[in-house]
Amino acid sequence: MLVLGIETSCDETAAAVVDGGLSVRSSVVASQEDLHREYGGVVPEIASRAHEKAILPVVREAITRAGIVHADIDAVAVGHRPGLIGSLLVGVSAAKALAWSLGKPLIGVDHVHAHLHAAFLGATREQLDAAFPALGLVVSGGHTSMYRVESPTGLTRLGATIDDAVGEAYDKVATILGLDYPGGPALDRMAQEAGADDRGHDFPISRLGKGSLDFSFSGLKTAVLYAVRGVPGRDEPRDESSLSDQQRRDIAASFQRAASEAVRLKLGRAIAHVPGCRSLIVGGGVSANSRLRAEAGAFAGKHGLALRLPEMAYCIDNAAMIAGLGAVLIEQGETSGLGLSPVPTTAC
Amino acid sequence: MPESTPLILAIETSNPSMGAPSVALGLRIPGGVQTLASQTLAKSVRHSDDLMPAIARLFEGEDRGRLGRVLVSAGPGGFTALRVAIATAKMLGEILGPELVAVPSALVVADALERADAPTLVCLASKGQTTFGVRFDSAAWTDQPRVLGILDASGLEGADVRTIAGDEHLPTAIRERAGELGIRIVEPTLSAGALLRVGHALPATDPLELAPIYPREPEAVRKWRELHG
Repeated sequence: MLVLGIETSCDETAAAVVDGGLSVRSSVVASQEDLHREYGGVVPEIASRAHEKAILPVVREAITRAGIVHADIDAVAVGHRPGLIGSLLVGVSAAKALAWSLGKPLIGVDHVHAHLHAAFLGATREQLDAAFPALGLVVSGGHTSMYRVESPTGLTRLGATIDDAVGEAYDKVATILGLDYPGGPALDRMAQEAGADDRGHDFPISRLGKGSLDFSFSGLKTAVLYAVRGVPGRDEPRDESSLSDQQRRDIAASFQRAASEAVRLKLGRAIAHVPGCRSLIVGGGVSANSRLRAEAGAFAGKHGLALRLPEMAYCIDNAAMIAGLGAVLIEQGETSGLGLSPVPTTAC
Repeated sequence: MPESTPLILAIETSNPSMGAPSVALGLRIPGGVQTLASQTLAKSVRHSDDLMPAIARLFEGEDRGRLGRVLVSAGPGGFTALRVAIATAKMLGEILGPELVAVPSALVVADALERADAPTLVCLASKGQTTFGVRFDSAAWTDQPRVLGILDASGLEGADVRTIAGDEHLPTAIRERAGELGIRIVEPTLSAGALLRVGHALPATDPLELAPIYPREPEAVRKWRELHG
């Protein structure tokens, strides 16, 4: 089954063709990073305008790169939640018109759930079937949550962030350190530079009470802010320009260690809630982070779990994960009508 | 009418304050266009959800392969509604192959106005103290409208018009200045039927160039510039 996927939930316009839910025939992503850089974050109206402009060439390129013609498409999948409503509307409208024009089924896909499916793109059906039950972790700029994953389409949320998403904390700390937007990848690179001391600062690791499976990163972010600018009422105010390169590296590495340890701590608590757990599945933009990938690997090894991490290309927002999960849902008999609505929140 | 005659789809969702969003299906006849069917969409913000179902209903019993043209009212108007209509049109065009035509919404408004009242200023996308004005005079009418762009009450001085077509969002200052100048204000209306009449013979638009008419930069950008210079 060839599924055309469309993704426009935030600031990437993406289309992809995926065969059988797992084999990526094409994946095209038009990033809006340059449009938002000046503002230090995503401007929703700019994002919506850019999606409308990019959607046609991106869909065309995905079909061309897949080496197929329109008639080969068996279904259309679209990320319809969660996201910026104006951005989602462009993708949902385009997908509805494509599905109706082709006379093929339409399926709405939850973007957060699709990030978990991204870890199976390129896998075999046997690998997919053998992965469950699993512990799922989605870490991105908008989401930080853990799931008991019973099947490719069945999952139960175990915990989520109560304030900032981990990727949001990365971007904010990067801004505090004066790094370019988007700061997460730049911060990761800085933390890996030679001489960076991840014990240079003892930043707090949120626990949120014994047994809590939720996350909190606002305290960690504030601790970094105070380390850079001084504690209000105690220290002389300063800014990031007063930091030496070594101090920046130490703060970046120490922050990254604290963030990763917070995630590892909660994974350790959550695994008891997944009886017979076979795999750790990680998805989302922060799954590209080197330290988090290493921590996930160590955790999986310690608990005898298979580790499913997305290829780097599928860590960021992409449409291959939408098409892939869409195919699995359609195989189970699910479809959406032409009245499909975009929804700002996740159902997961 | 032969069954091979291409069908024309009109999508008018640009300004819900000037009439309920609607879609219509028609075909060219000697001397004009005939409306075969139309559908009115919900006037709420959720009318976007109903656009494609309404188009599907229009085509019940029709071969969608007969679609030869898609006319889209391109604004200025509600940004989101315009993007929904244009994204839909682009994908219909991509798969079914009809020509796409971006029709400025002011032309659609002018279709329902009395030419005897000209010169008329059609005001769209009013916000704060300003509006987007397009001037129509009786001689050229829709052939040569003059785009005045964003203007405030002081812009009426040189506009030289007898009537203004402005909706409930027309700024109070413009309404008051119009009264002082003896300019009558009339209610503008939009419909997919009017879009069919106005746009059926207009030249096609390159699908990659099809875009909403944005009269202003995003509000968030304007505020950001105010803060950061």
